[in-house]
Amino acid sequence: MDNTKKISKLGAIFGSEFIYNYKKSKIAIFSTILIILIVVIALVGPNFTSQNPYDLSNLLLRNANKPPIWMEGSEKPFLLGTDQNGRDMLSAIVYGSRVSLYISLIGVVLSAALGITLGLIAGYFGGRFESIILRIADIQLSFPSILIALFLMGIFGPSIRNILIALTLIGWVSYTRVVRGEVLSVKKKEYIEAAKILGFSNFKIITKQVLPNVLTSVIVISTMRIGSFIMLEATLSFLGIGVPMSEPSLGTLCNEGFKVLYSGLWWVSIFPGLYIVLIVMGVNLLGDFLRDELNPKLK
Amino acid sequence: MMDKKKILEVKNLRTYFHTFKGIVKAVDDISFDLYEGEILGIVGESGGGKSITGFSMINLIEEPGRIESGEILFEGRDIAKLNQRQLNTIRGSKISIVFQDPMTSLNPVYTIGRQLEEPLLLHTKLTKNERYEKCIELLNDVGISNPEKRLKNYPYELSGGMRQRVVIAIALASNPRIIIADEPTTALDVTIQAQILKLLKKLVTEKNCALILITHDLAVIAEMADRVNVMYCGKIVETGPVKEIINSCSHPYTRGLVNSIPGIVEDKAKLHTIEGMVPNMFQLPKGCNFQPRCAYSQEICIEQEPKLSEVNSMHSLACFFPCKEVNNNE
Amino acid sequence: MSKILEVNNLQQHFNLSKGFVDSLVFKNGKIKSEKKRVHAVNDISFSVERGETFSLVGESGCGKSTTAKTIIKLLEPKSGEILFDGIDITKFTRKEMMPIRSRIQMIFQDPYASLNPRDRVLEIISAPMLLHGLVSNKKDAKDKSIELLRRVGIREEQVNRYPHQFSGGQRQRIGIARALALEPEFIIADEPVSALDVSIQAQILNLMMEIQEEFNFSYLFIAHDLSVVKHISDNVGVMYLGKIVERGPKKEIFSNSLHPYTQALLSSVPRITGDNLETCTSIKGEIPSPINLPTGCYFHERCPYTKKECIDIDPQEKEIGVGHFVKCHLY
Repeated sequence: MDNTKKISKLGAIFGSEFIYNYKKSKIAIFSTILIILIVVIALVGPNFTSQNPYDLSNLLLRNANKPPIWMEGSEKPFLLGTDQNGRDMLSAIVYGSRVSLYISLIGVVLSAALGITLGLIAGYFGGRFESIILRIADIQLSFPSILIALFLMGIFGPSIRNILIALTLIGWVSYTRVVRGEVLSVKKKEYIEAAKILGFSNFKIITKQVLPNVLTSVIVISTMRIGSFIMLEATLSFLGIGVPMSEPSLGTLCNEGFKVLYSGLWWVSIFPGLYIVLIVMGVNLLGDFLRDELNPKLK
Repeated sequence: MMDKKKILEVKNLRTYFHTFKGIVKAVDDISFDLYEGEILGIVGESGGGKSITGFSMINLIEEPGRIESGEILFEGRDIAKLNQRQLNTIRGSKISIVFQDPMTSLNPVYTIGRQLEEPLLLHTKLTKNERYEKCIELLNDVGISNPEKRLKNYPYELSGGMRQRVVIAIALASNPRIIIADEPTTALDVTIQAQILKLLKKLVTEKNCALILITHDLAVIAEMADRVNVMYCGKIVETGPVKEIINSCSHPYTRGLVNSIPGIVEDKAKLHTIEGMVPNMFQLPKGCNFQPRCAYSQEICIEQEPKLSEVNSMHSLACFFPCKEVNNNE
Repeated sequence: MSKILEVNNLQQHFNLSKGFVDSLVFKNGKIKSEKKRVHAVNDISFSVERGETFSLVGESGCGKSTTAKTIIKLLEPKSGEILFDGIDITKFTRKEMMPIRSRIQMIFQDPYASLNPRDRVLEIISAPMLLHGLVSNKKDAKDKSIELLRRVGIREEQVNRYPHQFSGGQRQRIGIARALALEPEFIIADEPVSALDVSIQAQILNLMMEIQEEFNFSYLFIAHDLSVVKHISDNVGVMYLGKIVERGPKKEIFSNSLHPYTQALLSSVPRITGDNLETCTSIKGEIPSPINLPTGCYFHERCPYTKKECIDIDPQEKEIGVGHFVKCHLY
């Protein structure tokens, strides 16, 4: 038992049982590999694609409407075919995933920041703060998130910044409710009483004592959120009020492809759609695993 | 004592837990007997294996633990080898168990009457009226006044002490031959504890069953038990009549336990302690488990594991150098 | 010797109903507003001299923990007075309490909940030192913390570990070190050994007595285990349903107890000699609810000596022996 090594913070938080179970779970390993691949593709993919699909000068109409590589009439660099503008689908998906991931990740970070802050305040101080924050949360939850998104985007107009605002305003609620619940149970623990007796200010206690102990559930929510935000953004873009066409996300690509679906150019819509499914699946599987692993420890 | 009937024989019982970090030998090769009408105490500190011993008696061990080997002979059968269906004919009827926490032993959504009736439904063939009469009788036996009203109450309407009485009544419902009580009074206040202990002792005599009393409180053992098994790290280090063990020659661990209790030493003087801590169950010391903390250990204690050897016909201990002086209590 | 702590007529209660709507009940055909209160501490007074160990003992629900938390201002007292070293801290704000905080500290009961699982042990000890300016820089704080931890039995190579890597007894030692970090004059120990095994209990009690001699502070010791209380206290107060029914020097309380509750409590404790159970006088019934307090003397429903006046009149505290006070109509 005597070892003088310093265990890293991460190791302390998760403990070796987590690592043990992680190695045992094929799903966890599979989903992690999948996610890593997706991220790597998004980061360095553009260096390897055959074209930059956003640079209009790249596009040659004579490349248009080519089917994927295993079908007749296809052409070498365009592995997944091209759309009606000559845009290579593979490149478009790589570039599109960057936009989708960027939006959903930033969206998760922003909504988490807002949600956690409100959750900490509501849980720690209770009283009026808690009542007000929770009532707003309850009211907001009675609206479907799509409706709220449509409403906001309709008012402010489609742009990446506005999508991020919309996602933040939609996403904070689950964080707040969960964090508030966690704070209620942490608040009763004796080390919080000890901190008060030692004279630490409320701010210090909330940030240094309470916050680190509610993070595990936040991690679980966040992984699931990434998936749902990608879907939300894709839906908005599909409906045409999401990301503008100049920087298409996967959802926008789906939308574009939808228009030519009946002309027989099925690959323009299907492949971006499939990629969305892949990302969401990877993230959800990992989130499932994390939720099962991290939750019992909290009790 | 020798003319009492032996009703339980445990031989070389091993209950191991196979965890991700390794194997925990919670109960490691213990053997003991239980006689009709006696109170056998199992005492030890946390991790000693006493609760697991109690649960092993009715094979209430869940993954990742299991009974590795050994025999638990009861009424001509080996409990360790029975399947679930056979076990269910013994659990709650022939051998019943009283758990520690009265707040969680009762199901909050069913009335007391329903829960008290359950063992009667499962293990007896009484009619509805007969069951009702029996429930009233049981509540009276455990000293609950106004039993008719109590049968309709829910657990939250009862205090801790009353709930524990109900739990004991449920344990008694089908006239078990053995009751296993796992720290039955630890969660109760000291005045209620006295009531419950008195009750248990009275019932054991009246019903002529046997009681296995598991606790960490040596004083409770001294008040209640006839014989005691002292457990440390999964092994029985000493066994015998309670008075003899507390007063005279003892295993250094037992000695240490007795001396650690405040009240023995002069006030404000330093209490005797047992040096060190309970070892990590994944890395038990070589030889005798207690050796790193023992003031009397020598070479052989590190090399070999001491086996239980008899001091007299009723008293055995596992130690190469047991202390010979007499303890002075009072 | 001067008093380090004086508590006068302290009261503490908790409201169960949250807000007006919650408190409405339908009774006897009318709707009334009934505020349910848990009367945890009901007018207690006692004092602790410098250098002494005063124990508050009682069963669950008697209010001893709540008393401790109120004295140290984790909870605001509802009425009464708390004088620390002559200073009236009853109504002190958080800011006013800051200089007091370093003089009065607490040791907690549950070794598994009293240390932040996310903090390294060294951090737990040095952070308060830095906060109160007892040291001027991080290096000094680290050195001082390591020394303090060594004193309570935690080795230097262990100080960078996390709480979950220690046993219950070790965690309690760390909690003691934390209480000592600010060099207090007064330490409240709230059931510090109740959650520990008997052999570890002895180690921790020895440590607590040693450091008291070495660092020279006073203890308010909260416990339900009478043998522990008998061992370490100078003076003892026995609590029942939020009142101190008897208090006085330890020897008096244990060998010459006056209040029927104290007597029943003492006789219920199992003895290692094994001869107590047969003869003990167990009190009938259970502790009443602190929401609906009994009338008169709170103990009258269970007392073997109840008289007429016990039902109506709450007894006044009388001094029977030197420093030995009791609240009972028998005297």
